[in-house]
Amino acid sequence: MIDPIFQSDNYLLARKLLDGAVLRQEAIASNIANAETPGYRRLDVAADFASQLRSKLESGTLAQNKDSLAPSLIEDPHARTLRPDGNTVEIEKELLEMNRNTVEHDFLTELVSRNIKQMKMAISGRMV
Amino acid sequence: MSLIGSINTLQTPLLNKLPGLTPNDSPTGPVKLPGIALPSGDVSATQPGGFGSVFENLVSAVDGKQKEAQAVTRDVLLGNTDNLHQSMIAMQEAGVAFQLMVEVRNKVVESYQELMRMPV
Repeated sequence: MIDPIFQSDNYLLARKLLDGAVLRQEAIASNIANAETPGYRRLDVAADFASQLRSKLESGTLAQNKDSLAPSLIEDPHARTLRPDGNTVEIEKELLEMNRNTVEHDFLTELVSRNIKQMKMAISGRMV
Repeated sequence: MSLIGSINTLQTPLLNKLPGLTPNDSPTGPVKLPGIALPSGDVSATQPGGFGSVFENLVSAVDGKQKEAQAVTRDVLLGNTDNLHQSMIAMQEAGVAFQLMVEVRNKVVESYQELMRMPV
C-alpha cells in the first residue's frame, strides 16, 4: 500500500540523479583539492550511470531496479593534459562544472521536495 | 487558465448584466443569451451534471496540467533540453492548480458538513 505512493517515474529519476549530483560534487571537490598533485587524473561520475538510467526508464523497469542502480566514480577517460606533471585537472573547468552541478542539485532537490509536498497535500487535504 | 474560465460560468447573476438579455430572466434559472439556443425539453428541471461536470472539468484540467508539467520535467531530467525554467514554471502552475482543486474540495465538504449541522 505504501510503496506505490513513490513510484512516479520523474520522482525516482530525480532521486537517482540526486545521487549522481552528490557524487559528482565529491569528485569535483577531490579534483580541486588535487589540482597540483603530480600524476593525478581527474575523477568523474561514470557515464554508464546515465545510460543505464535511460534504458531502465524506457523499458519501464525503473521502479524495480531503484536499489541496484548506483553511480560510481571513475578516472575521466577523456581528460587530456599538456602539463609536464601529468595532472589532468583544469581548475577553471572544475569551477564551472561545480556551478553547473549546484544548479542541477538545486533543481532536483526542488523537484523531489515538491513531489513529497504535493503527495502530503493530497493525503491530508490540508495545505502544507 | 481554462480552469478559472470554467468557474466563471457559475456566476449566473453576472450574466444578467450582459446586454441583450430580457429583463424577466431569473437570476437563478436558465438565462437566455443572444446567439445561444436554450436546450430543448424541460429546462426548469435540475439539469444533470451541473456541479458534477464543473468539478469533473476541474479535476481533468488539473490532471492535464500535472501531465504537462511531468512531460516538460522529464525532458529536462533526461537532458533533452536545458530549459529548467520552463519545467519550474510548469511545476509551479501544476502545483497551484492542484492546490486550488484541494481547496475547492475542502470548501465543498465543509459546506456540506455545515448544512448537515443545521438544525431543522
